[in-house]
Amino acid sequence: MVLLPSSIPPSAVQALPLLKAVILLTIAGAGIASRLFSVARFESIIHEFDPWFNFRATKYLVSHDFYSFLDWFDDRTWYPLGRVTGGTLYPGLMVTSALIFHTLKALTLPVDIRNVCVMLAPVFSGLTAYVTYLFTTEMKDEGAGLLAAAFIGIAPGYISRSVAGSYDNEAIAIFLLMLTFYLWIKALKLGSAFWGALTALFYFYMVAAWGGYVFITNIIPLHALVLIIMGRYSNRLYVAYSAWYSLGTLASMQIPFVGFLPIRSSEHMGALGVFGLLQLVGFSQYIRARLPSRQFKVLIMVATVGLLSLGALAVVGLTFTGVIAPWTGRFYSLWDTGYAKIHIPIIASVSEHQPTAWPSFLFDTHMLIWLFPAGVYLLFQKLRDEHVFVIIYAILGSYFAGVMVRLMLTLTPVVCVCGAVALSTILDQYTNLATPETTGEESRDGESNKDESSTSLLNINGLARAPIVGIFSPWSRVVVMGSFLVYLCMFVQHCTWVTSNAYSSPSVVLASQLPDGSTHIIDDFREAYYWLRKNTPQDAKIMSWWDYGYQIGGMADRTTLVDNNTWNNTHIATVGKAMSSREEVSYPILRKHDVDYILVIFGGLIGYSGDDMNKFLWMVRIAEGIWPDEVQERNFFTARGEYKVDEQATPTMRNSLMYKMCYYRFTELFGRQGAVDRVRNQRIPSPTTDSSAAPIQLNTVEEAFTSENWIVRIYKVKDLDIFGREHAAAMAFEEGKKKGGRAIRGPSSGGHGKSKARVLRV
Amino acid sequence: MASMIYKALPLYLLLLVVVRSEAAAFVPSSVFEIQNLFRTVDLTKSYLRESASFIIENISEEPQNEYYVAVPSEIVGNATAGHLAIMEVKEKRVDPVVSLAVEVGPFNADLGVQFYKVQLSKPLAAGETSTIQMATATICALEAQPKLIKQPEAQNLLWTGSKLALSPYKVARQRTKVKLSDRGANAYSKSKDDPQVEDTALTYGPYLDSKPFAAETIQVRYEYHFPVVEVTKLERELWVSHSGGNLATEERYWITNSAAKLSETFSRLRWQASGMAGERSTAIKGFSVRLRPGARDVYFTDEIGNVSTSNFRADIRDPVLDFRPRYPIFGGWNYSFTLGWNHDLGRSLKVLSSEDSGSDTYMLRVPLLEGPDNVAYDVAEVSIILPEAANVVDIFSTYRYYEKEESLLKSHLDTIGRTVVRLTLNNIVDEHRRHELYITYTYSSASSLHKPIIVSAAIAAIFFAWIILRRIDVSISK
Repeated sequence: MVLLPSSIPPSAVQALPLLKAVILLTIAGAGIASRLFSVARFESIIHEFDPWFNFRATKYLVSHDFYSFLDWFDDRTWYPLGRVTGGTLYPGLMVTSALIFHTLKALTLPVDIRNVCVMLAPVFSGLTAYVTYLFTTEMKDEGAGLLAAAFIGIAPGYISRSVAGSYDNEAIAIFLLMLTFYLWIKALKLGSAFWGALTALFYFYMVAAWGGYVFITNIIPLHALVLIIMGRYSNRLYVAYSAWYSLGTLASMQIPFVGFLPIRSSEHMGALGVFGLLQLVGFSQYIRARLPSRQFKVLIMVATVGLLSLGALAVVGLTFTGVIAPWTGRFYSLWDTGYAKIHIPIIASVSEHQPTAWPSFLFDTHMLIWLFPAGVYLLFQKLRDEHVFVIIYAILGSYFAGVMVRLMLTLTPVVCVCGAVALSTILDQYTNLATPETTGEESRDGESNKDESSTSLLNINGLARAPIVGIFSPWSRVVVMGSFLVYLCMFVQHCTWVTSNAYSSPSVVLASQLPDGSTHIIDDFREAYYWLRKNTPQDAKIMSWWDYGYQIGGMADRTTLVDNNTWNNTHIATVGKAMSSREEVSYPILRKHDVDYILVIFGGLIGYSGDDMNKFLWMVRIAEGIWPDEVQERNFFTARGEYKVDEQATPTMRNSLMYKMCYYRFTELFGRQGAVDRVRNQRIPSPTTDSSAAPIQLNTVEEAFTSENWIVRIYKVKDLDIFGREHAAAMAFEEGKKKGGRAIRGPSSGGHGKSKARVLRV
Repeated sequence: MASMIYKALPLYLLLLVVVRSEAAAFVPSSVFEIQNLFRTVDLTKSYLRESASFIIENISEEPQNEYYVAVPSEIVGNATAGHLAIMEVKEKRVDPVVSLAVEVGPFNADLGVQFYKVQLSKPLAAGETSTIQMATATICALEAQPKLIKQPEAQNLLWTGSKLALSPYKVARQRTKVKLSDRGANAYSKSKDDPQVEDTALTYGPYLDSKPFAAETIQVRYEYHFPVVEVTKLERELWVSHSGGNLATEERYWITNSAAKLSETFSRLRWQASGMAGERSTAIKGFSVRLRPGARDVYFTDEIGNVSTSNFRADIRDPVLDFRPRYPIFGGWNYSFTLGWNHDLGRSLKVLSSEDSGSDTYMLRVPLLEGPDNVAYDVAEVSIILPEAANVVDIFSTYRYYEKEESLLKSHLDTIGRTVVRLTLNNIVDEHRRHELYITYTYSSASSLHKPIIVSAAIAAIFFAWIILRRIDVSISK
């Protein structure tokens, strides 16, 4: 190790692997421990939205065999369409946890599949730290490797996607990404088909695990291309790339969801093109060795121009004829951040698809973000083949992270690697006790070095002779080392703080602080989901906005119309239309889709801002995309263009099913002082305070369940009226009958409910 | 119902003779006459309890040692289990009074009666008398009337029964007292001077010289503004660990509220208002379970995770667990949950004998049930998981009616597997909670070393394999 002087005894050198192992284990332990905030604070629970699907799929895989998992047609989602789930998911994550589960079961360890899923991401983050160590060691040395491992272990950018319970594809994908990159570098360095094949193997695993595999599919060819352009073609490159591409592509096509994409979609054409180019370059190298140089030049000119234009023409032609799939919308939005907003509101409606704000770079990587360019610069200085790779990765990663918030995740590893390279170079410089020959004098300083590293105890020499300023002066060492020590402490502190405060909320369970400082758990989501699970028919169809589809499937175990796998925009728009239309318009839609219950999220009572009224405009927009004549976003805004739910709310807003279901009987909670929606800070028109306001009346649906804090409200869709009347007419008739009954019994009699019961009993 | 059957009896018998000439349905021979029967129907709990005390006289020529009890088929159902929870018969002739052995007798489809055969403590000589005390409990016998109520409305339960005790023998004199809670009854069957009404009881009778199987239907409707908790299934597991010195209990409940259902859909607003007003409700708000002293590490979860609304008062002597389901459980609603806790094993375990060979005999003593009270269980499965390599010698319970099943379970790195004793009990009510379970088993201290040795050997084998594999050079060329 560089940090240690060379004069240490041999026994200490022998102990180095042990020390390294201990350091890496500690890093892995710290990485895992810092991801357990949510388990300690809440419980072992699956977080957020997508993980609930992965969890449900894992349970299916555990209880069925592998092939029936791949053939799984799920009729409990996207009712009535269903989803070919086995063919439209990346099975890597589920297979990984199922393997772990079966291994533990074979060892007769009683472990719940939920705990396997919850703990998967932290455990894999420990492995990621180790792989990052290997990768960075290839870039510089083991010192940098250990630093990089420590950084990736606790960097918030990665933790955001890998806390305990965040059971998503990214949980294992970052590990696979770094491992594939490491193996590629290794294959390239050694020119070994064996390492190339290993790269392909883990590339296959990555393809099985995450759609982000396209990143690898493009970055490795780009690396190869840049190396060729730089004139660094070698047989090592040829062997490594050919081994990876041919094996990896064949392997990746075994994943049902990927299928023939590697030879048909535009995203994969780069890899194929570079593969072809490598063959040409390789062949031309072979020819060059056998032909006179002038003939060779002519030949190479003609061949290059001819083949390249032919290839490009072929790709364009095939794209137009449809053999090669054109770019997908999500891909376009990577290049044009405004694209999604205009063309695909459903992509734009997802917060993690928004462009990244500048502060979030600092938030997610802290001091590494400014060490990162320094590290890239240092790699430029050496510019070995593998450094080119990191530089390309750094450029691409930075761009993508700037475009989409969630791609911060792919940037974080390279930031850690480059930051570690930079920091380790600094440490090398300032802890190296030897002064360069040019200064001509020893500037070893026992006192200052004692602060910097314990290893300097060996050298205690004169102090006063050293110059005060200059790079090699002891004081500059103290300042630099001291400040970096402070930075590192701040980094750890920041990472822990961010992890604890920003990334450790399961979002299924909410916590609030009571006035006395104790924590109060708000568990409305599970309350309502469990009610659905236990008290509705097994085949009940639940309509909700797509955000809650996976959670309903996972926790309530009921059939949903739409979910977070947003594959059918029209179906989602149908739900959006039903939510944003008048009851008379919505009811036929509900009937046609066999909807039994409607679930809405309403945060107005306790101030939960992620509720459906705040997402409502997206429902309107998506519905408008399909039915521009029937749903218009404009009608939901007041004349002054404000989004209002109070007495200024537009009639369209007030008559929409969503508005009615959210505020149904809400005002009755408040009495005289008037009902206030605490999310939007607007006063809801209440009949008790305002005589002109009519109470919200629901004709076609009825309240079935409302959770403790009113966050989840479930409505039952009424059956057709037995006399074939319109629901509104039937309700009015019932109302009239009640009024009649009340008039007879006098005004003092209690609620209108009783009279009906009396009628029934008589 | 029963009276109908009785009136139609001759017709039935006629048909029987015509259609089924081979075996006539069983009817006990009239060897006894019952004097002064006093029956109490207890309607204060969420399930039905009946007790009767009477004197039997042997009116035959020979000594008798078998007595038959009849139970109407609507209680027993077509299966032998049915809804009958308790059938306990005691005889006062012997001192101390003991419960008599009761076994399921024949079923008479024509009368709609299930017989139970009671073995008297000693033969009753001709002309002699003996005092019998009988107690039964029945679940699912009380129904809500009306079946649908509004959310804050009071619930009424309806009991339908006979004012005459169902007896296969002639009854000389009998009375039936219906015991009610302090709110009394709001409707009941009346005839001339029947019943005598008190605040909390109705007394029917006395009736003289009723024939065998005589019945006359009466109904009592009374306010019962509490939930009617029915545990459709309970899985109770007790894990015995000698190495940890721990007795872990886990209970999984599937419950339903058999109270009147809501006539309209649930309104949270109304629920919150009635909660603030402190009104009573038929909805299950929560349970309170009194655990045995020394209980610790309590948890309350359900199928989708931890339920935060529980409160454990960790008093050493009297630990109480209060827990609230995720939502109020109204009539017809279901819920399921899991409770668990730990005890020091020493509190429940006794070393019976210690042998030099290292094989000790232990006796484990645990309660049959520990859950909430005023609850009726349809099925309760009580499993005791003994440590690995323990051998069951004997199982004894003060409650005798269960099915026993032994199996082997491999868990926690087991190689041999541990014995699981599972007792299946049907129709359980509060009265069963006093029963205990005793399991005697042998376990040698040497077998507690079994697992550590196996695990260390496995790890050592992995290391050795690693060492050897590292030294093998598989490269093709040097």
